[in-house]
Amino acid sequence: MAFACIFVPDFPVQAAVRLEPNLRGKPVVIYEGSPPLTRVFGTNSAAKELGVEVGMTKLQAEACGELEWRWRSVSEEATAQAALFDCAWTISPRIEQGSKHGEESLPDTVVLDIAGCEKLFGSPEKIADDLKRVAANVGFKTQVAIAGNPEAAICAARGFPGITVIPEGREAEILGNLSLSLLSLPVEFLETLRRWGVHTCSEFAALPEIAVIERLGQKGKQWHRLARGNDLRSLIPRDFPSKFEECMDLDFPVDLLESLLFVLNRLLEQLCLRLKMHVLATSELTITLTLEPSDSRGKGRDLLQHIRTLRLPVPVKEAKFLLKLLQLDLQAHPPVAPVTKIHIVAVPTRSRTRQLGLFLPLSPEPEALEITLARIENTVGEGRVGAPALLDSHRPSAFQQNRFVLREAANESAAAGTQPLHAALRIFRPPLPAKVELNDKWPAAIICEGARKTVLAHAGPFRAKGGWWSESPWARDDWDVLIPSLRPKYESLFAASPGKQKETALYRIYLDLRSNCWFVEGIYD
Amino acid sequence: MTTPAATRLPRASTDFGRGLEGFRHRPPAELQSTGITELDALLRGGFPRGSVIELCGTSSSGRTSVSFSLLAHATARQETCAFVDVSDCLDPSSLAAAGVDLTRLLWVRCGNLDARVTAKKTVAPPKTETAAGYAMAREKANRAEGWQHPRDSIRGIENAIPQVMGNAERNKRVSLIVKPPPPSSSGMPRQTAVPKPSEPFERQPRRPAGKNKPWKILEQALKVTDLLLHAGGWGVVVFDLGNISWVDARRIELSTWFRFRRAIENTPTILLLLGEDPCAKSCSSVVLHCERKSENWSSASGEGYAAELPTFQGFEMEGRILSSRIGLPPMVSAQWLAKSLWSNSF
Repeated sequence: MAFACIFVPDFPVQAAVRLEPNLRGKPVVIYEGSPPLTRVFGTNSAAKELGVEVGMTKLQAEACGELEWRWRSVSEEATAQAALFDCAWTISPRIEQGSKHGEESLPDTVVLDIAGCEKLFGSPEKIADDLKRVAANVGFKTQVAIAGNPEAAICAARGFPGITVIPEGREAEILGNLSLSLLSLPVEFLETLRRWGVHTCSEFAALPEIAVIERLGQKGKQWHRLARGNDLRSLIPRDFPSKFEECMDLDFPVDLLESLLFVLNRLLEQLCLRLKMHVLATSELTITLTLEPSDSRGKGRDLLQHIRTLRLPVPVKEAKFLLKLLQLDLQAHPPVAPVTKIHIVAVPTRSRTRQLGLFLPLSPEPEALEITLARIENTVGEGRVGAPALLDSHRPSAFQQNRFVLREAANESAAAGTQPLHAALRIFRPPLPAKVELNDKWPAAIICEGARKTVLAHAGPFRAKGGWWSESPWARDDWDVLIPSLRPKYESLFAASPGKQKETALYRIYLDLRSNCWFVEGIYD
Repeated sequence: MTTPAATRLPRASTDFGRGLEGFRHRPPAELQSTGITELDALLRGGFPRGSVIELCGTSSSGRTSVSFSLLAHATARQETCAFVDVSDCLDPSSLAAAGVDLTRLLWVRCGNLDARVTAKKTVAPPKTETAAGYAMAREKANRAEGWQHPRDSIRGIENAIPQVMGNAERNKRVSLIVKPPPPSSSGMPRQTAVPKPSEPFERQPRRPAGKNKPWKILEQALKVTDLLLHAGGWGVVVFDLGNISWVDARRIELSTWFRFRRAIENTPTILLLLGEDPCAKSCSSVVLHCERKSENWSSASGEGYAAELPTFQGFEMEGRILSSRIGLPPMVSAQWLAKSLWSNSF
């Protein structure tokens, strides 16, 4: 059996720097707590060189020199941890979050079982190198160790820089030089051991086990085994996540769309990178924007959130494409206040696979079509773009507009046989109100849009009813009439000479039996 | 390679040639059948792909029926089509009756001017103003000091002239001097509806009623069509100007049609324009004028029908080629029938 461990030193700083690559190489400090109790929570090596230590006050830290500082963000640390798990999952499906002796969890450490992975990925050295490289792609500088048991791997990863591979059976020898503080012992026991003159793991491992148990109890026995590097415990593997999240707390409220898109781009790039590591894509993206409260009293209340969900017809894993869709969506539905926090959740799904052919029927590219449809919706309005669908109803012209989704081409296209040409109807929306002069129950003239037109021919009535069991019953008598055109190409300038109009047209009119009103529904064309 | 595949792939050595020879000897455009035998015979196979086709005609001339038949044939070949409905008058029932696969048709309903979204630079509007406040401020500015945009001040003047002129008999002695409009410095097209002084001043182009704002709707529709054509991949894109007055349709600049034609050149997409009059001018490859010749009304008879109950059975229409850039003889026509759904015999 072999176990690998990935350790991220200065994890709070690296969690912040991961989303802000411009901070790399600079001294960065993470503060926690509200003033005047603000303290240093995390530093990187550059800040430590300037003299900044964890626990200092803000004033003390600022006195050390020029620093870049950020507030601690628990949500960013959680998403960074999720990204670390994704790195581990690229090698092995059995991973566990690092812990102190299986109890308290360590957010900066991940242990994975690499038994059986040699045939896929190569030697343990190569696996360690792959882990380091994958973590660097996500934005982490890591220390990787491989050992025969999880605790030895954790100690080695936390104690030695770079890549460490401990051959089986030599754990005690290699871990011997490490300080006892790496074993994460309680402070009082550490002090006790220091008073005994025991400072390193090898010195502690050299003590007789029975004597350690007599003086320190069963806990001492566990730590004694840790120092020797042979603490065997099984991993409790984590479940594969059901969603991928990225989160960022903004230092100041953002009210410009361009600035917001800049931040969104970073988050989407990280998200898509993590999806690609698992050969996955996403078909649903939810963005939650936490808004600045309008007054100070709102700070204690529930925060305003602006939530938008993009449901994509095809799985996508390109950050540029998702950014464009989000941009169009936020332009159409902007938040009502400046944004203070961004949270993006992507639901993973399998990548789309399709076999291309030489003679496929013509269709737009799905990704380009989505962007085009979003742009068209921004132009004409929501709910006015889509594929028409008839409703299962006897009500005339009952339809709805569904979301337009590209259909896959069938193996054989339907034979386009010769069908008789059907007279199409053009509908007036809304129907044109009209008055009809009847002559012995037949329509003789129609008055509509300020003009009176004599009925030249007619067919009807054709009665239709429905919905009498519902809240919206309907009943109507339909007529097909031939009259001089209501909207001719040229209209007579003088009202006294309507007969000169030669242009006629076929209309469908109906009498609404419930309201006893006439309407012109459409024109045959 | 099988024989059907070999015939579908162009032969590089003979079809394209080299350099200028290949440019001169372009392969003929593929034709898309309209589904109407008589019209296909008139067009020698169908509408050419990668071109702008115009179907013009007055109300009830049958142009919409022809467009639906073309869409039916395109969707039957599993091609994705689009319908830019400028006046929001498409009837899905008629589409389905014509045999169009509705799931392969994208329907864009223009006309909702309130929902236009301009490019917004700010994520959040200023706290003191809202969208409603902006609209009110615009109206206020317009009403302030009695100022009106020059276009608004002359709106409706053409409808006021008949009221001033009054009775036709009384005005025979009145000579109306119509000066030609000054040359436009901005390059905007002139309205062609101004009649010449020698013609009897009896009719005028139809103006849209009330507050339809046709030009704003047209702008919306043109933008949508531009987006669709540049996205590519469509079999047929129908641009329906059927309910738009030909006066407004002719205001669309020629450069727009050139842009559309350029976007679909060398692609299989057909851009089909429906309108009262041809408006794309030299950009269209075929201009087909549709005209209704006669209607058919028959009486239903038999059990359950009232005596002499008339029914509309359909109409006979004629299509005439006004102009063509693909070698079709002009002014040649053909006639065919358009039946109603319930037509039993014709």
